Amino acid sequence: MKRLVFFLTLAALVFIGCRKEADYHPYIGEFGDLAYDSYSSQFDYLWKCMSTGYVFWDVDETDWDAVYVEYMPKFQALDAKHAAGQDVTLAELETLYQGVVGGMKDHHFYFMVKNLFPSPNDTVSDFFIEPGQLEVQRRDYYIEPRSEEQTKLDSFLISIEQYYDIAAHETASVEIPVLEGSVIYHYCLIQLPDGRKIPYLWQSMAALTPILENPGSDAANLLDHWLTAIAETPREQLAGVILDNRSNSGGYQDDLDYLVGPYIHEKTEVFKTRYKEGPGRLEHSVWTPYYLFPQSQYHRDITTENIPYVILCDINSESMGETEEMIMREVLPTSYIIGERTFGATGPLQPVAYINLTYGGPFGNIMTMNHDVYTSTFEASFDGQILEGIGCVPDQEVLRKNYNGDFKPQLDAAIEYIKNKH
Amino acid sequence: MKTSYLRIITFILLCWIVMEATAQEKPSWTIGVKGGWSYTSITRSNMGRVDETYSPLSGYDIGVQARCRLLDWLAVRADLEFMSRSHKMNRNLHYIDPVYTKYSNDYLVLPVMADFSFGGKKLRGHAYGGVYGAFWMKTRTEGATFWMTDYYVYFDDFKESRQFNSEDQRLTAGGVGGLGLSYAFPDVWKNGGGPVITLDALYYHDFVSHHKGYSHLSDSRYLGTLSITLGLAFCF
Repeated sequence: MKRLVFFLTLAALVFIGCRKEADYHPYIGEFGDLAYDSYSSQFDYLWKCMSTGYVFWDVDETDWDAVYVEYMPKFQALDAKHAAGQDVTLAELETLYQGVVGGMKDHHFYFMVKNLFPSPNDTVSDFFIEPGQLEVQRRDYYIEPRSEEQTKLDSFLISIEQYYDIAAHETASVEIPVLEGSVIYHYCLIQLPDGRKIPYLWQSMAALTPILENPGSDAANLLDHWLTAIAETPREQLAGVILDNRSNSGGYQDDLDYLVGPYIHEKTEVFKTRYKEGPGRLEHSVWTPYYLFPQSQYHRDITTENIPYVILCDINSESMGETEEMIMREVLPTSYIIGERTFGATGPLQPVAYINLTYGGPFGNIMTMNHDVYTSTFEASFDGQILEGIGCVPDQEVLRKNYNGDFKPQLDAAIEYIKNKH
Repeated sequence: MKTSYLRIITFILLCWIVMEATAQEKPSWTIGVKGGWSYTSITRSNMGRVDETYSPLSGYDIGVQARCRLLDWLAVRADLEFMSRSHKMNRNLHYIDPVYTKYSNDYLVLPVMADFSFGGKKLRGHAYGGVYGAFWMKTRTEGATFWMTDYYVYFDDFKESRQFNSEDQRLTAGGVGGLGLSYAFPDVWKNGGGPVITLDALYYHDFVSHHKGYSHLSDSRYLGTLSITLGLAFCF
């Protein structure tokens, strides 16, 4: 018995303290109080939140552990500089964070940080980094920022009657507070020489949902005219449809109910999503199907009637502005995509107030937390492929760079495709 | 983790030395099978995922057992068993609380224990203490997940296998101890041996995390499994 007691005590002593406790991890949804008070603790906090909440670690090439090893001493050096009474400028801070997040794959990613101890020489106290934008600007067919492109495309469409026979033309612009901007629409009923019609719509954002939920406005009437033209024009008079998603910056997921819902006849899986299910970088939920339900309003059996549906897209077609054509390609057999490989921001997002959904996605508050990180809540796959950073590759490539930035050749190609489908 | 493995190897070597030192001319062996119920809990941090709760799950334990008796009161026992070490995660935020995941894990476990026994010729009590190595063979998940549109959350049931990834630590180890009973039928065959019925309650306590964590962030997770098994062995 004595030997037994001795042995068990020895065994217990050997094995007590074998377990290592997990490190402290902050709650990513904190936005009430300051989470840190130094450059190095700010970096540590952001690094941990990114480690647990970033949804693209399985496809991102950034070595996040190596980033910590390389950059923590540099942030500690900034703390030492500040402690010694020297200025730490916004440019110094931005240069470091450029190295930290500048190569992230998430093309929705927007990283804003405030200088905790602003330099009197700086006129502003925060900066932002958009790695997706940086990558897109390096592509050889990039021309200029979306805001410029939208203005030019709008001008082109205002004068569209110069180039084509247009039976009807409406335009509208509406501010959408949730999207922090205004959506511009052009609806044109293009008329072919043989009299057949092509209902055409350009949308600068995906905002059908808030507008069509409140019928009666100019924009709602414009959209109703386009959707009704598709649904009710007799087949022999309807040559095809064009949806112009060039420079579409994205917006509401539920727009799919208006763009795809009327043309399916049963519940249809259009893509799959998954989210962070645990703190491990590779801990995802299972891939869950995302379904669209058929909509009776504006319904038409485009597939059976073999109506060509062309979607135009370009390098600045982002988020829903590119997801729409990815989905239409899967669901509408008569769809055809013309233009340029798109931006590559495919991950659905929820607002920062919903961070607790998955503990991934947008987090922070620049005013109270001194950081604001905008990143995808979900990862999406289209027919088994993750297209983040890749985008939608068109069926027919027409690069505006080859035409001095002119918007007309891509639209010409769309009309030509529809004519040849007769 | 290297320290943990060193401790296991040291313990097994000590057992071997004790076995050699106390070996009788004809050591008696008891070899058989066992099967029963396992109950596993997980010890982990929620790592900032503040509404998650983790709970234990029942499973199975089935395998073989072998004991080498060194002295009347001391044997060395080694088992090889397939053990389910499963646990569950639940969400508790009101609009997402249907979401949960059951993690079903199949392990191959090799415990090596000292078996201290006391009692009579037929009915004996046992106290066990030792170490085990474990290999995480297969993992499956089952539960409810969600997808969402701009305004609605939809829940979806799922059940599927999971592929192991670079964060999974498949080879783990720990300390094992417990109590048991055996009822022997001696002198059934020529050399004095016979069948033995065993009943064991063992607790397997991980000291290697099954999640590797990262160089600057430890996310250690440990399993603890209670196993109650009934066995049939043959002593010869």
